[in-house]
Amino acid sequence: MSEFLSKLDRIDRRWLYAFTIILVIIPIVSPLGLPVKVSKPTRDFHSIIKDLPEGSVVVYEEGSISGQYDVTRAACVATLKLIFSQPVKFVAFCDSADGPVLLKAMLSIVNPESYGKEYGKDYVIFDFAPGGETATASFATDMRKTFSTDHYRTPIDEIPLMSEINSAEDVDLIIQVFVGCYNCDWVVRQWVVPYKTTYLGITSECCTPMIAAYYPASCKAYLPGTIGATEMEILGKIPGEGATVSDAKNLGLIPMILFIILGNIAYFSERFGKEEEK
Amino acid sequence: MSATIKSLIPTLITTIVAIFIIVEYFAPPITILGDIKGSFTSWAVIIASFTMILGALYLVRFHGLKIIREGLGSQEGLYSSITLFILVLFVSVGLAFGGTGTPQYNLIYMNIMKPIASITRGICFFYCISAAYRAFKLKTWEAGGMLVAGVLYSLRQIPIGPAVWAPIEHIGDWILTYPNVGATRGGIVATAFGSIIIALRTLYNKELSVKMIAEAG
Repeated sequence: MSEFLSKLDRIDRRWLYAFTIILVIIPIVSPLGLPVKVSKPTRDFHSIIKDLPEGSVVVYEEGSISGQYDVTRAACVATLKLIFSQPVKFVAFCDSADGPVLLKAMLSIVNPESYGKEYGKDYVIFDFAPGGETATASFATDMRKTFSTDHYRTPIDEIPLMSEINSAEDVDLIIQVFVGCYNCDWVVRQWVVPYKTTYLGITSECCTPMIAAYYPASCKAYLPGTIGATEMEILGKIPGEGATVSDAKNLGLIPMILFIILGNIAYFSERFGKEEEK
Repeated sequence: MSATIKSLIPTLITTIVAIFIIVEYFAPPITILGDIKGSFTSWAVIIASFTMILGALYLVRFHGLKIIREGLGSQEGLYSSITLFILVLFVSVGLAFGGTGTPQYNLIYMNIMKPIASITRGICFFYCISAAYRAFKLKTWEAGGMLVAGVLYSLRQIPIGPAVWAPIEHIGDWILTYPNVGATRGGIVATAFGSIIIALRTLYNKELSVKMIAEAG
């Protein structure tokens, strides 16, 4: 037994990788379909968007990066579908270099025109503003000074939607997508504190503990990664890929927990074995 | 130019800009201050855009020199040439077809950049599995606390956790809402105080990093 445990402690990592790959693939091929209980932050997230008065202005700060796109996409798509189903105005800009391409890819999945929305009148996309928090502050202070044209090089003054929108004072809600754990601070400092703008966050699982610190005072609600996406899909009856990705994570995390337990059994077995030898 | 002047000029610029930004942030709304802040922040965005160009130029210089030094036949030279080729490809497609919003740019981005970045992230997951097995050993009480909280919270984050054992949902939520929020908020406040101290030292020209940059430059 102790020999087995000793071998276990020195297991070739390739076996761990193989075991993990098998467990991740299983739910993708054959979904588990486990019940998901909707958490309070997601319920709040859904109801805040759903209860927006007609004509409200929603700013969408896209901070996705290509490496985390698969993690945030489901939540973003579910959110965008919900926003476009509401009678609100939508203004998007990007604080990550990858943002414009990824946002356009998500909008092609959502297809705002299928919700009766018209580009320029109901929604507009701006490009990437470099500078991190400074860009967030700049967009909140003066959108025209941050961008002179939209993503399609149309001058901002020729966009009908932007005729009455220029700063955070004209905005009712800001939704920020971020995958850098401290990026939620940007919106809290530059939008929530000075302008009292309602703030919702979309992030990956690993950044959830950070945004949870601002919930519910500064950040009114948030979607915690793919599990948040799954909950949004259930709540809004929006079919999406969140359930599939959550399913894959179901079994993907199991080996990690299992290996932690096995690693500790092996460690203690070897440690007590050495003490007995002494 | 002496190091003192080199550090004095950036400090003066920083101080003047910072005074306007700080006053605007805390004072009641005054149109002219808002306009000045708007101009300063939009200038910062423009400067940040130029730093990206500078970054690209440094990348070309660094890898160009490496190719010259090591030669294309070496492993280092090969990697550098691939990096430069991809940089030239993306910039060329962007310039030739009218920016990053074109279908051509989207095509190469979604078929080169996105899969590579996703794979890199995916590989990290496997390293995490291996690292968790080898490093997450219950050697101290602190490690034990980290281990238990990490496992319980991870189980809360996947649907199978509450499905197998219902109380995990409340335990995971409790970890997120109380110990995590308490510790994170403490960290945020401590960082804020640290930032204020660094900002004040910069305004008084006492911050060493500014002086070191001036001396190095």
